[in-house]
Amino acid sequence: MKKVELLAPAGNLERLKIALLYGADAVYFGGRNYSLRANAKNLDISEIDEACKYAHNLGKKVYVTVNIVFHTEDTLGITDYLKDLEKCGVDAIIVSDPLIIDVIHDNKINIPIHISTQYSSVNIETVKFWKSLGVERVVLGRECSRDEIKEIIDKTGVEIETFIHGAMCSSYSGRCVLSNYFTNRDANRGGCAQICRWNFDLIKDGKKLDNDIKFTMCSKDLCMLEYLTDMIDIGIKSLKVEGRMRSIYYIAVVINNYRRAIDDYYNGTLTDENLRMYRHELDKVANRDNVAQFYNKFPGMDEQYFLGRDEVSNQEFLGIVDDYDGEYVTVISKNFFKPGDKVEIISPDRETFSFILGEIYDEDGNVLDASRHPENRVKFKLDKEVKRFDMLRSYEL
Amino acid sequence: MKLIVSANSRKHLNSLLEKNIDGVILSIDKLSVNDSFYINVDDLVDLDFKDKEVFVSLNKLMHNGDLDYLRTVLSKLRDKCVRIMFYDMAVYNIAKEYDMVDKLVICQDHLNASVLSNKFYLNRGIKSSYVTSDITKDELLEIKDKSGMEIFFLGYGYAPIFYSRRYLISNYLKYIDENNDGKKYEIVSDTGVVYPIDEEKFGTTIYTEKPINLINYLDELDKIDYLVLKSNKIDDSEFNKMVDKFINREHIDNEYIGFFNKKTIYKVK
Repeated sequence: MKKVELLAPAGNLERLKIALLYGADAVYFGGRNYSLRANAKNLDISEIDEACKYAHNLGKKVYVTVNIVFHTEDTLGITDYLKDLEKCGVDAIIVSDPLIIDVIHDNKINIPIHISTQYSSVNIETVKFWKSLGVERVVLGRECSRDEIKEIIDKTGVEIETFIHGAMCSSYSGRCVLSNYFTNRDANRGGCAQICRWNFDLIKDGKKLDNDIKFTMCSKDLCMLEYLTDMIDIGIKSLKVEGRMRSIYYIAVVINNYRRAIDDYYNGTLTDENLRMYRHELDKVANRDNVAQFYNKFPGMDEQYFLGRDEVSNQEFLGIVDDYDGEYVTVISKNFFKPGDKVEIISPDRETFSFILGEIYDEDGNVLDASRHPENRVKFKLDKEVKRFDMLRSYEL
Repeated sequence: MKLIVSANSRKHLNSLLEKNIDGVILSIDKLSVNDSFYINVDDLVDLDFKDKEVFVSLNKLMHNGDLDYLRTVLSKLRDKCVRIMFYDMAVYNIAKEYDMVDKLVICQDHLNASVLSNKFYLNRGIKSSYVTSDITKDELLEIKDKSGMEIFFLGYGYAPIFYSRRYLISNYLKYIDENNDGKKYEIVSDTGVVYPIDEEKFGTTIYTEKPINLINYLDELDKIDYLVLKSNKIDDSEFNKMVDKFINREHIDNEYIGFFNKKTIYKVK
């Protein structure tokens, strides 16, 4: 049986490698141009080429977002860029502006097309329209319910991708330009300033409501772990995690726990206890409360967030393993830690284990009282084998 | 350039039909959003449009549950002398089946902002485009010159800048335990700018802080085929006065023109 695809965000090459290592079947990212998330570092053509080679060597796929709403001046150079992507061997491009479809066809460029969620395709006829143009896959709008998704799959035969985890637009994607009007940054060209997460006063019939809790459009994040098996059963082909701007630690934890849940399901070993464990891990890296949003019911007050931002700092992420020589592990530090701290190592393919940190050293073997600076190489003794890209974090129950 | 208008009520529509305008836009109940006046498709036959052009708006994002009624409405519009402003490609797909693509005007609030995007739709037989207000005058005129499309553009009215399927006002008022009995809602940013916000049957919309008004640019807009004057959220008499000013090509002071003369920032850094 062909497994559902687990699709991960990759804002740069490092995140791409982590995502694939921690269990993604495919990754998506933007190039330096033509992609939403203009603030993500994104990849240039040589990096995209490297990304394709890296992923394909692992038997995995690479999708490149070309998903801005183009203004006329942005279309200059697009044909050459798409030809470059073809040469790199990208497995598909994700587009929201259909002009790309004509450019692809007119220039006989051989790259499959996925329609971005940014177009908000939410019904059978629209998906059939894309199918008539040779589109391979449609990423549905996040406003679709479970029954709507199933009906679209059953009646169109088009590959359907949906989001399973991460932040949500409060609006229909593509129908919000608050950033344009509030900050002059073009929301549909990658400049979204997340105005929907700002606080506002609400005026009712000319009178400002006097309340400590401010009005906001902010929605809670999406988490579909508890509906994962149903999503697979109704025929969704690809399960997408949001977050091209997220840290490598976030990507590793989220992707790895969905990977494990998916594999358990196909192996017949997914238990409630496992699901609780995976949910516990996802909650550790959650920025906000997360719910199933439109999948199982029409979202109301409980699916919104009125208490302001509550960002997790990810300070529990202490470092990433760079090397293990059989006795000493070298980590690139990310946050403060010191001898005596209880820590644990997470890994893509082994169970997490915890231990008390003994002495730590700098690269020259000098004893350190603590690892205080990010990106320093720090060593300590460890009697269990670890691998490059395993991650060191604070121990938490 | 032709002037077409929307109305806030049937009475308002009748007053507008007395004016020297070229056409009217009517939102069809259950299949359109972001308006103040919706009519049932069957009511179209009762109206005397005084030889003005008639456009109906079907600008809702259609969900599966809308498709049967959409088919019904399109079949009723098939033989009528009306044109259809639409957002969702489901409208196109069904219109194609009914051989009525020539009636369509694509109207995707914030999408479709380039020459090539418009050509994409022209290549599918859609000959008319209500272009987004998110672009500059130069971009608009280039689209007109190079796309081959008949072009519509917002000349006066509040533009929707956010549309959610969620009931954002109801949810908030419930959360703070406040009655949802207001007739008019607005939000205020921390800089004190006030934006109208509406909750309708199909979700919540936020509009520009003021009506966009391009009355002082009519000479430059002469190449544009249709200028749209939208009455939503504007008092009937105030709107009618502005319609007269457009007809008479008057100048006004302190108009709000959105992005007409100002580019948005593509790359933040």
